Amino acid sequence: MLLVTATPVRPGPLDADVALWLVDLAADDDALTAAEARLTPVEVARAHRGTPAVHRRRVLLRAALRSALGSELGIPPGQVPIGTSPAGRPHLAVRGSLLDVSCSASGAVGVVAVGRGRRVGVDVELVAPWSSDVLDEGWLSPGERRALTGLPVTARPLAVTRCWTQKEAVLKATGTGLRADPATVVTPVGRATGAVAGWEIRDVQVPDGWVASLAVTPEEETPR
Amino acid sequence: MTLAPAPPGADRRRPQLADFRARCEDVAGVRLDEPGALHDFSVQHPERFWRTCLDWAQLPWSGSADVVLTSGDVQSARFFPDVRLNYAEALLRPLPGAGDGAPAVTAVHADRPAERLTRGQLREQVALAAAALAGIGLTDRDRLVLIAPHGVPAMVVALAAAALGAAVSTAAPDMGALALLGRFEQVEPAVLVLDRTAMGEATVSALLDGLPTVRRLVVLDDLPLPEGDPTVDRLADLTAGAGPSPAWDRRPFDHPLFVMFSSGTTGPPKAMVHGAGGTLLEHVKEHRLHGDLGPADTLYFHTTTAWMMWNWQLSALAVGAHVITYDGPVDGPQTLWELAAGHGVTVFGTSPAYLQLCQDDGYHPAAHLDLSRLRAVLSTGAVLHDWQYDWVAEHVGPVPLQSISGGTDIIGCFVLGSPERPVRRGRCSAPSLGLDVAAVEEDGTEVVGAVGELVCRNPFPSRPVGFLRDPDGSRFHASYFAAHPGMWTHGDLVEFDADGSARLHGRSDGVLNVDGVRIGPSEIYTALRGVPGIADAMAVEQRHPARPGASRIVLLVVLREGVVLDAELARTIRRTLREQASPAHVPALVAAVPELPLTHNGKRSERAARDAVNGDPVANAAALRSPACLQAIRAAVTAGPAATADQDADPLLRAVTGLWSELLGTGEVGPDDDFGDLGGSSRQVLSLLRRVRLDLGADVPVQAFAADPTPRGLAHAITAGTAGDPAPLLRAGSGRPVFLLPDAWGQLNLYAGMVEQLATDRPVRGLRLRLTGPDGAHLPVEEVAAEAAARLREVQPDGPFSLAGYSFGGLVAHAAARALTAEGREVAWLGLLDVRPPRAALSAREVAAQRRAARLRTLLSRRALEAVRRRLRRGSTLAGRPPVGPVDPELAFFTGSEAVGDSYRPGRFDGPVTYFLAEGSQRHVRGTLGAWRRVTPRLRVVDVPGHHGDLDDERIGMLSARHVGVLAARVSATLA
Repeated sequence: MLLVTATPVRPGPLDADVALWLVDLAADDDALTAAEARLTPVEVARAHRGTPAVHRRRVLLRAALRSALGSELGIPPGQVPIGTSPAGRPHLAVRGSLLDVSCSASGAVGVVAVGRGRRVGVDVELVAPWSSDVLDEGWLSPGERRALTGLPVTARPLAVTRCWTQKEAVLKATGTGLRADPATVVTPVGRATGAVAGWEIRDVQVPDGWVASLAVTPEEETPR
Repeated sequence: MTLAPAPPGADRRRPQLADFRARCEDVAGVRLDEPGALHDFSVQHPERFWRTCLDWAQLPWSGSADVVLTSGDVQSARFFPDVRLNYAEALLRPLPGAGDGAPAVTAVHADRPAERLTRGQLREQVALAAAALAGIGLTDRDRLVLIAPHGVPAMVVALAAAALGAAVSTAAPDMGALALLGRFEQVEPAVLVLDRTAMGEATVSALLDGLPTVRRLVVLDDLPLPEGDPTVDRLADLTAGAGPSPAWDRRPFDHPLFVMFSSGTTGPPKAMVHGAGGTLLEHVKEHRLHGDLGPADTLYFHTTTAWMMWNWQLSALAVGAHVITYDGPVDGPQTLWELAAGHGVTVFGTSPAYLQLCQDDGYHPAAHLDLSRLRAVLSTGAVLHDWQYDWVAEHVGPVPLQSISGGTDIIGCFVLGSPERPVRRGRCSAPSLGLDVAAVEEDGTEVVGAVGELVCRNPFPSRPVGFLRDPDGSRFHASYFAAHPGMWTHGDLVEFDADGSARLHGRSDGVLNVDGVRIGPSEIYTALRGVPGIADAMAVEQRHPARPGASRIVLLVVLREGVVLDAELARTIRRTLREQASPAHVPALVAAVPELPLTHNGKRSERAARDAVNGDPVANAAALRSPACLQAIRAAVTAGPAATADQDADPLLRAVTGLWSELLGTGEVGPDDDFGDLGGSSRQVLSLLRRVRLDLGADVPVQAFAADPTPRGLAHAITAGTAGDPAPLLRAGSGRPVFLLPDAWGQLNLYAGMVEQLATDRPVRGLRLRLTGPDGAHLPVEEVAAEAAARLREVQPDGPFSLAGYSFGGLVAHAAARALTAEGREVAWLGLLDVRPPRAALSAREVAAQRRAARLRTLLSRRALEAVRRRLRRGSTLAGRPPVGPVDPELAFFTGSEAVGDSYRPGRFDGPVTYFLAEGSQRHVRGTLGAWRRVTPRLRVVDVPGHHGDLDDERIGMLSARHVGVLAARVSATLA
């Protein structure tokens, strides 16, 4: 078990501009109850609309997001004012705040990223077995498709999942999500870091079997 | 020199409020001219405020006003226990500026000429009627019930009874016997006054049977008199034989004046007694201080005798205003405006429903009528929408539209207009002076800027004296004081802003509480306004038929004529609510009904509808205008699930649902389940859409899926998607659309960030255009633009048009704008987002200048293409394999578009053009912008940060997340 609420991970001193938290989405029911108590009625209601697994994920991830922002601000998690863009992107509803936030979940692993003066997007995915179907799903650019098929079969599951997390991280950072075409976000297939569409891409250390990527604005950027 | 108080309304330029404030400043010894200062004073020093109000209004009273208030408890405090007055005397006395010769009332009828009475004539008639009523034994311990249309006789009888100190309870003759008895049985009247012209004989006899306390029946009509008990007289006969008018005694402040009824959401209507002093003081305060009403005014408030606005309008006589009454039908949108114009009405009161009727019918009062005397429009009874303010401004004139709101329970207003406050769209301007009105949370804490329960936290004079048939006051307490101790809880939802302005959000018992989320139905109604085919709607909460303890939303819709609630319309409703309100606002069931339950006052009864959808007995059926609608609601709700079952039989929906179950590994997928709620990830969306393409042969874009991520929504997207919406809605809104032209890839995705951040209420649409002909060759820009113009006209038949495009899309936008103007249509706004002049448009010198530009990169150039290839190769090398095959077909498509773009020769366009010049393009474009200036004389250049965003340029583009905020702000600022 990772922990009851959320753990900060420290991928390295360079990342002091982004605080990263890992969330154990397999936490026990006591943890779930405790987490739910930190949410607003609207958040609880939204969580309840999902299946039991979705409910658990939404509650724990949202509570972790509140904890992460609360620890940045030094206020109780339940009091963090969180707004949501029309596209569903959460943000700290404090005028002029320099904090930006993004979160993601896949299976038992959740990740929350808090950008300090940086706009951030994070995505975590469970590495799935390779299937050539993905080449046909329309979200890879022609170059990415070629690069992936050029890899040894054993390297492809991780590569294609990482490719997705990088795209998704960028699209979450921009705030458009999948309303923008993921094929237009071209990633450096086979690399865990780099620059994609003006965003700095970083690797996030997550348990084996998962891969996570973080998109961050370059240094001089001030988030909206 | 002693300054007499200015007569009411004598000086239009100086509102009476200013004079009153000066008086309060003298009393308070401090300045009260800051916004809100006078209201603060009024609630912090209620004794000084109300005493000043009583003195300043120069109402006729005797006794002592030394005791203003007996306590600070809102439930039990009494005002002015030692003051004595007479309501009729106060209304009919000669006033400065409104002597006996001044007009008091003009009664307008649909079928005969209007009658006008001066104040002197009215007082004479009231005196005669008082003598007649005293003659048949009416005393100040009695109550009188008056059922008559809104006209002079009703006013005369009510004032005569008030003069004698008898309490009056009124209703309109078109109400059914059951509803009338539900009210008046509690009143136990000694005298019944009827105008039988509009009443059935059966109603009359039912009333007499049901009101055994009636000693005398007086009729206002000329119909034959019935025989028997009780004794029946014509008022005209009684006045002819009456003796001298008895003295109009002044009675205690709380002496009963009116018995009013709440619309009765629970049980029979509550019969509340309003005192003479409280009613008078509150009305005079509202009329003079908030409405600035005086002898120069002519007031028409559209009401019947069954609604408190009748009493409120009657009291306008106390400030010298001329009152118009009308008892005819409203035949159409013109009726009341013609009345207002024809009688020189200065203050016209109506309802949001009537204003909406006018707007929906396309009626423009100012275009047909002289409304120059009109200085204010008041509206009450329901929530007034933002767009109705625009409609009044545009089609009535530059008069304030004042939303006022209060209730029968207080026979006055909590929030209303103010002569010194600007009107903000959608909002009531100010809280009522002297009333400590606030929005509170469930625990009683005040909220500002958020919706809460409307409460009044201090005593106010127009609080009812009590209820009838409530000897220990327990019903009275339970009705207003139980929810929040020490406060009057009104049962309305309201949101106050820091400036004191307020917006009502409907009845709090109409609030939907779905799984703990409080949903204001007004948000649902606002969103549904954009759905054609829906005339009216009501959202109510229903106990979940399958999950005990849970609840769900049922939406009842009244459809316009000829419209059917099919699966398509139900989807549109759900999608609209999902997009414009929230997923929590999406109803579980949509049912079409012929009519919504309305009370006799015309108020919507969510309570009755809720009882009906739950299959419960409807407690207040007698209070409804047409109780038959309840049966239709029950039937529609029962039929609802059957209709859903039919849709489940749809093979496409079944196939789609099957794909979901398979992909998500879950057995139970309902047609309206949300993909995310079932645990689907965004990655799985793409897998799902691939399966849809392979199994069902339909190419559904992610955006189309995201708009309604349910099996039903996906099935719909599949049906619609095969044709493809040529002008997809990128963002919903109202008014003329802003059109965006596709880029050189034929895509609209690049605008996503900008669309999201545009500061406009208008809808934003993209255009999907064919960029290539049947042979696969690229079409010239003019041909693409011709299709664009045709698509624009399909969505928006007439100008003015607003359109924009980035780069290649800008060239198409320019050509489309030319095509539209050539057809004689107006293009109000053409936005060119860093549209570099095409090579073909450049002069030789400009071409040279362009060559000199240090970082010249056109995508057409070999260098650019090479650069792209190099990048592709780099990625592939990393992957350990050389690039395969010839030039990428997508890239070839792009360069093909760029090639036709560069051969486009822009023609002259004389309309306004805004050119958004990317910072990074400045050097590039310098010396070539003249090419645009030559053909667009009204070119305006706006700088925006970022680079053009070329394919081979890794620098950050103007449309990137980093810079798009500034771009969107500048586009919004210039948008026309």
